[in-house]
Amino acid sequence: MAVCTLAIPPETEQVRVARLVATAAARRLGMPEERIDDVRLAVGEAVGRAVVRHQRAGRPEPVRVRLVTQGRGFAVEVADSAAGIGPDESRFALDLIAGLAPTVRLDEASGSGSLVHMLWADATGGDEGADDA
Amino acid sequence: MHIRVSSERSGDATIVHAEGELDLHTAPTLQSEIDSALEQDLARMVVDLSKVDFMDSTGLSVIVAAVAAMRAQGGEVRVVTGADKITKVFTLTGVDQQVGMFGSLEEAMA
Repeated sequence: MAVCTLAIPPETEQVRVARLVATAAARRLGMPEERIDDVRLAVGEAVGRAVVRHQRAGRPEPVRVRLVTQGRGFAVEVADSAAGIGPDESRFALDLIAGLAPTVRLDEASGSGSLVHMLWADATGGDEGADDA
Repeated sequence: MHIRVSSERSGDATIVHAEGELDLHTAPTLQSEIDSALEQDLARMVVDLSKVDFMDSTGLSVIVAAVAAMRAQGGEVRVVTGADKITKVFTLTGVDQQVGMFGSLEEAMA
């Protein structure tokens, strides 16, 4: 199992860094190019959402991103620490994440922020689409 | 900055070109160009994304706002999407049902 963790400052220009690292990890795992595009966009949406939440909450600390590769699986977790700021303003971001990652979980119950968990269980194989989400 | 935008007039249309990556950081640049295009009060706006190699939901939101603004002044927006990964952003969100989408600038201008 390989784990990579990133601390992304809550600044809009830093979202690109998370996209680039996630893309490189997916490519190293051997994901097909079309699926890598899905990873790039899904991770960008999740990190962008977290950055906006930190900005709305006035939280200066970094957004936490955890990339885990194990066997043929690829998981990405994006955690923010923006609590109590109300519902997300961007419906599109969550729609896209749900449509791009085969398995998605949004955890907002911790009281300290929210966590978006995305899993490509068979990243190099044929689990195209989000049917098992 | 990883985006370049420009616009030109062609008949009754304003064509807004974007090139590069359209995301949370760069979407305001496209927004400014579209705001300028709206002031021209023409019947059509064509947003050319054929040279955009990445677009996220914030770029999409700029286009959705442009569609609403053009409708309010009796006009329409057409979008040239080019790459499949850009088209996908529209289809996964259902925005493809709200805006005319074209595979090339020539088709959008026809």
